[in-house]
Amino acid sequence: MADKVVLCVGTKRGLFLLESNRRRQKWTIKGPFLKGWTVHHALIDTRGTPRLHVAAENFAFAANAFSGGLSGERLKPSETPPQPPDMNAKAKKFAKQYGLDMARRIWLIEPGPAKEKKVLYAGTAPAGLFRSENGGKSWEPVESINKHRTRKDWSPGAGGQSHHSIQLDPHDPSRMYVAISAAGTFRTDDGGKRWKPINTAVAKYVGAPDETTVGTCVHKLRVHPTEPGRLFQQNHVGVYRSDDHGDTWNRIDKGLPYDFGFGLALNPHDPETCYVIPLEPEGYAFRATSGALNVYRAGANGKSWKKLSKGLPQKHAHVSVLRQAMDSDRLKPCGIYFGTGGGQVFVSADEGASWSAAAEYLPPVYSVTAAVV
Amino acid sequence: MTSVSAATVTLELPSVLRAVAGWRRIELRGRTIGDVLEGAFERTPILRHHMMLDSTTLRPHVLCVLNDSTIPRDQVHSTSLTDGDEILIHQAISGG
Repeated sequence: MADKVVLCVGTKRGLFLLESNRRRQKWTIKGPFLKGWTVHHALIDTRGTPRLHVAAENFAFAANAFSGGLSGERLKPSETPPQPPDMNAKAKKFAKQYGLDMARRIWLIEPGPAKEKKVLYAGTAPAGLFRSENGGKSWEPVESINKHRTRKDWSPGAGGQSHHSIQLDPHDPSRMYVAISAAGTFRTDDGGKRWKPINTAVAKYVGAPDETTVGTCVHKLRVHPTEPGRLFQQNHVGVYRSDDHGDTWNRIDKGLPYDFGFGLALNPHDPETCYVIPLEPEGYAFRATSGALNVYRAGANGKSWKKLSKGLPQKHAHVSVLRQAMDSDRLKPCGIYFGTGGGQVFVSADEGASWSAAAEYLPPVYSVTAAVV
Repeated sequence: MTSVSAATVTLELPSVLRAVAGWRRIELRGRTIGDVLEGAFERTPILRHHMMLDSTTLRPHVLCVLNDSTIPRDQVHSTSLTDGDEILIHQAISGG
């Protein structure tokens, strides 16, 4: 039986591994690994012998995907890393005009289907989806989405034009979802041959063309692991839920202090629930909390929200939580985890009812993922 | 001065690239720094991805130092070498 919970914490300066037993009360910190590299995402693939996969870049050197054992030592870089495609001319001009991030980087790595243990996916900026069939040694572009007919209308967000969410449908191996800022969410039902924009009724960002089927700024997308067709997204404008594989979306953020946020986590044992961290929207602050750091949990169908603040700082906590920096584990009760721009990692072993800091002085946290190994 | 035969030199990587290359310092032969870098890329192909924009241009913020002298980026590829030269690759770090 798996007896250890490991958090992969990607930071501005290296990777840290936080470990605990199933009680998740005491945590040890190991690292930094890949010292000097900015780690945008890291995870443990638990489909076979657990493997660590890390998306990292350095300001002087190019982005790469690293893989290795759980010790964090001896992480090997990919021999043929993902090569992010160019943005279109309109997007480049827009990014330059507003000083948006144009760096080429790998935003995340996700394991492929359970039966294809060597298959991995990666999302990049500028937006690209890549597939590896050899456990991360080499990567090939998935051109059916990278050259999608709507790409001309994909805009960069403040963090770049990022392909930040990759979700496999747990009930149908030929169905998969991806989300891109600022384009929207896409679904394939035929194993990646064709991709359909699924953004109906999701608010568009200001300036998006009226006629386009994209033009929405999804910040994070998650598919519920047990409830067929159940999706959640934290958007630049609102929190949404879908019960039909994304064909339609219902906005569920009524009752939250802000509809803006990045992080999103699900409870694998409760398909009605999602967790978000509302942040003051751009223009008001630094995309940070208003001094009180709170997680909110959705009630049935998002009709109510419960503020979860026990153990979290309620004054002068002007920190942000990025989109890759929130996750849950699969234990019961499930653990919820998030990291902040101030270098804290907060953990809850009781589905968000109470919180404690497992780390307090790390570099700014870019990603948090949880694995039970 | 232009070397007529290949020189034996050392090439050293910065710490962050050691995670990529798996080595810190190697001895290589070449008439120019470009030759030596090609030798390093032949041995460790992924280094090209991390260091070069194209076949002859270093990425921005990548600095090449030959025997304690910084080589201008546009001269790196063609700079001649003599036996015993030491080439260091650095990250250019600025700020105050």
